[in-house]
Amino acid sequence: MRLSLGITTALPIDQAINIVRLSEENNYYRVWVGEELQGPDIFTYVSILASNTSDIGLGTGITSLWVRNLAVIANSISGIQINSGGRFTAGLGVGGIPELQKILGEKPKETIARVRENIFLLRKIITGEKITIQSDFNDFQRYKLAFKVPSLKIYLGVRGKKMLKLAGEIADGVIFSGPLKPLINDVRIVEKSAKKNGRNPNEIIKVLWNPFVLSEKNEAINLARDVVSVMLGSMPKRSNELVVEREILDLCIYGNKEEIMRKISDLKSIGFNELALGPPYGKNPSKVIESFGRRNQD
Amino acid sequence: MDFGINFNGNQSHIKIRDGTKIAEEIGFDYIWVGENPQFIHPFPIIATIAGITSKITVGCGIISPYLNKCENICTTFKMLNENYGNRFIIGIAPGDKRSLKEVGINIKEDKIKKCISKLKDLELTVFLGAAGPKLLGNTSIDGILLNYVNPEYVKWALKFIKERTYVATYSPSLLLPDRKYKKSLRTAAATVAAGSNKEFQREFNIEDKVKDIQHILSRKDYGKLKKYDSFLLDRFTLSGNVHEINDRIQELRKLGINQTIFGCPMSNNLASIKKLFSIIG
Repeated sequence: MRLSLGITTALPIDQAINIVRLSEENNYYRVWVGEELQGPDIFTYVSILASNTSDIGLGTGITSLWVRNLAVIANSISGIQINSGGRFTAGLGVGGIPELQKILGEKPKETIARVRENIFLLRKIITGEKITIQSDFNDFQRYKLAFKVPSLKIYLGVRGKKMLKLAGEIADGVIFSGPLKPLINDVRIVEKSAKKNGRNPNEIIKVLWNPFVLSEKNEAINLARDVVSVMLGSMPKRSNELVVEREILDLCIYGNKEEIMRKISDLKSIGFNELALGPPYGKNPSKVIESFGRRNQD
Repeated sequence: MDFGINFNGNQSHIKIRDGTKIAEEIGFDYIWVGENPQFIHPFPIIATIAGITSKITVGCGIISPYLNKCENICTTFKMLNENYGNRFIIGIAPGDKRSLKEVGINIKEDKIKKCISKLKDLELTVFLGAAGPKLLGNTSIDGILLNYVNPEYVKWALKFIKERTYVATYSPSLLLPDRKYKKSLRTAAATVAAGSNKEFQREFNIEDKVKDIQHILSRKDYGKLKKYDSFLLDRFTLSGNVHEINDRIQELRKLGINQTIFGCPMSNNLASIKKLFSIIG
């Protein structure tokens, strides 16, 4: 199982640089960066991380296909891939609906069709094809990048049966997040769709990014409870007290090291290839990152 | 006078990295990174430059609020200033209409003023890329990036600037002879001419030539630009041998220009940058 780190652009960039360098020193596979739509530009953020590291993989996890012109997404992800020396993975998706609604003034529409078309076009653009299309989502006239892009993987961070089927059909990897029990079924949907579309399901990288807390049990539960409470914050007026034990257990990877190692083994058997340790990590994030680095594992 | 050098996202990563280091070492004051939808986006490039330079001012010139969300421009430059020292400038402008049209963007509503206002609210340094009377009259900015370098054109443009402000000329540049990059110079000059302001074209009676150049560019039949070689190079570029370039710079200095920016393709030839700067710098 690959161990990666998950952060969001809400983390100040100087702190992010420190934590990512530490992850690199401790042989983490990559760092996924989630986009806070009201926060810093994710492509600049990841570029700064790239220029402050040399080996660790980097990925957007995810950025929305709704908030930028597709040409800007194409020439930004290509630029990061070149400048990072091929360490970048583009994690794309719809994004958080409430946040998007604030920006767009309405719920994103025709999500499946748009994601399908945009990924199809992005692949063409980054492989140097000339694009001409006039659709409900894009309007390109003989658009072509003026530079060559090294091979670039595109992952989808999506939810819902139809979107997962699409991911199985077109994505190089899928970023999952959420309560574990339903995710088992979600992994199967992706695998089934991959098979149906003539792909080898094992070649699709399945990443789980959930809150992670390494600590002695009682402490871990308390920290995990706070995070889950924030995650469930999209449900209005939900208070800490209402976060029940079952929800914590299902949404967080938490416990002491032994317990977590057992959980990781379970996740592997479900079919996940990569675990992104999401915040808050533990009472002392740096120590947690150090103790879970590959260097410290069996 | 300050000196700036321009790099674009169609240049190799190594060329940009080495070139920007040299630019800082030999004493350039500014590095400008341009935007074109076909090139690597300027933000990843500027983030890289920020990490390998320490003093030089780095500008995005130009960046279009029609192609980019103003919020992303704001947060990017705020983050760069906070992390790498307060040495980043936004050169904002509508952008090349032809290139924007290729990616489905038509310039309609005025996004420039609104975006400048947002950027200034964050106390960011904003230069405006302007060529016509309307934009040149803007007063809420820290400087102007003028796409003209011909003294006659510069004099005309300066008339429209309402408040005395910092003015930089920003044009395709090349130390000649240069067989490898002369074609790029000509095409870059043609792009500037094709995107020039209507009032400007009327003033200098170049409407027919510009119309034909626009037609050639739209067909991407760049070889046909050769017939306009002297027109394009004389009027829209800073090019020639070291002495010719130096003479032009002295003329610009007399007109009160504060910065000369050597636009692409000059930065492709690092040896020529060093040679030129040893004389003019």
